[in-house]
Amino acid sequence: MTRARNTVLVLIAASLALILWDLRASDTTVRDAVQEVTAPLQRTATAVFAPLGSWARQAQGFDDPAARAQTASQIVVAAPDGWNGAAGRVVAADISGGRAAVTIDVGSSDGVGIGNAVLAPGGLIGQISQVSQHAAMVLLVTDPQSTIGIRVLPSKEMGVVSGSGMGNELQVEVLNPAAQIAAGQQVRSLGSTAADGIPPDLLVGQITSIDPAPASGRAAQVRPVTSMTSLDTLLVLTGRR
Amino acid sequence: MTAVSGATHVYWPRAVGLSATAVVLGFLCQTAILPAVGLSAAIPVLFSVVAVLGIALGRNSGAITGFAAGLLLDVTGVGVLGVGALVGCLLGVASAGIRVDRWRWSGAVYVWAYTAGAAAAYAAVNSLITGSGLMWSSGFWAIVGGSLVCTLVLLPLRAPIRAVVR
Repeated sequence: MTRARNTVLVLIAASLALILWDLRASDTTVRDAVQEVTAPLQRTATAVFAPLGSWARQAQGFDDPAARAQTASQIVVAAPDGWNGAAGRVVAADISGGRAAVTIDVGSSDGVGIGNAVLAPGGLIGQISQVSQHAAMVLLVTDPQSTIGIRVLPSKEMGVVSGSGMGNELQVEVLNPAAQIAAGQQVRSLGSTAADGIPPDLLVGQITSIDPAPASGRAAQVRPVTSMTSLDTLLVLTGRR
Repeated sequence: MTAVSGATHVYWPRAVGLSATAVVLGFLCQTAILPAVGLSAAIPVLFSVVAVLGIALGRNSGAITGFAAGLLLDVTGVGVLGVGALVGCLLGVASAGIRVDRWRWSGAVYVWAYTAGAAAAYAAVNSLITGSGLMWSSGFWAIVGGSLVCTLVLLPLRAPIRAVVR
């Protein structure tokens, strides 16, 4: 009895210590090492069970670079010129507590780096938040911690789009309180100065409704370019050529 | 404590191997297989596995298995490291105290409630620590409904698990 109680107390103390350590240090070495092991397992499990699901995977031989390129071709069409890309496939999802992230099977060995833009057919769906050698985590635009600079077309008003959890629409706040924005207008990325960040003018979504009483600036809801629950092949923009 | 009597005469190498295999399978099912077949990854398969292992193997093993399983979720997810480990550990301990030796529906309801509670706590604590606020979107029904299905599927396995580790 005492032994069991001691074990439990030690484990609880270890958990609390881990929480404090992670909040202070934010070290990703351990996560990267574990993902090196889990990502291939997840990839195999996904590949085996995918035919049962709605995710139609045309390319059976996805390890073949040509098959990968072909599946990614419809995303490449919408990608900006002059950028290198790495096509990856979603192998796992984490949507705990309204969070929204997926793991893809390309990593630093394919040139993927933190901050890279991630595209699905239609436009921008997220940014790389963690990278290991053969896997990377994509923080989706619907994640509450995701914020991306945007312009609303055609007025070119600048603002910020942030996530409100999986399954919810995005929130956009335009800087200019007098901005003329309306439902149906396109929201496109502002672009980052980094050579491997988000390029300008990628479609992020479409305004569906305007908040009637914004606190400051103009707030609106934005529908993302695609459903975040059925992501399959994604294109990572690894840097300018 | 009758609840812990299941832990006596356990052949430990086999119990460790079985728990590790069950945790890895539960983890793969939740993070890779469910999304691949179009179901929500918020369905707490791994926590259900922990609850059933806690019932089958007792408090000590339940705590260790829950800690390891939660840590695996933490390390591979976007949440804070240690939150899943803490929730998993407590779930393993708590479920070891549930009496389901004879098939009583109250036992299954407890397992369901503990599993759903653990999944909700995991989500809530992570949201609060990372400052993203509490959000009950599509994940709520996945947790409640998913943990019920997982409980009904996995709970009958506790007897075979005990038989294997003895």
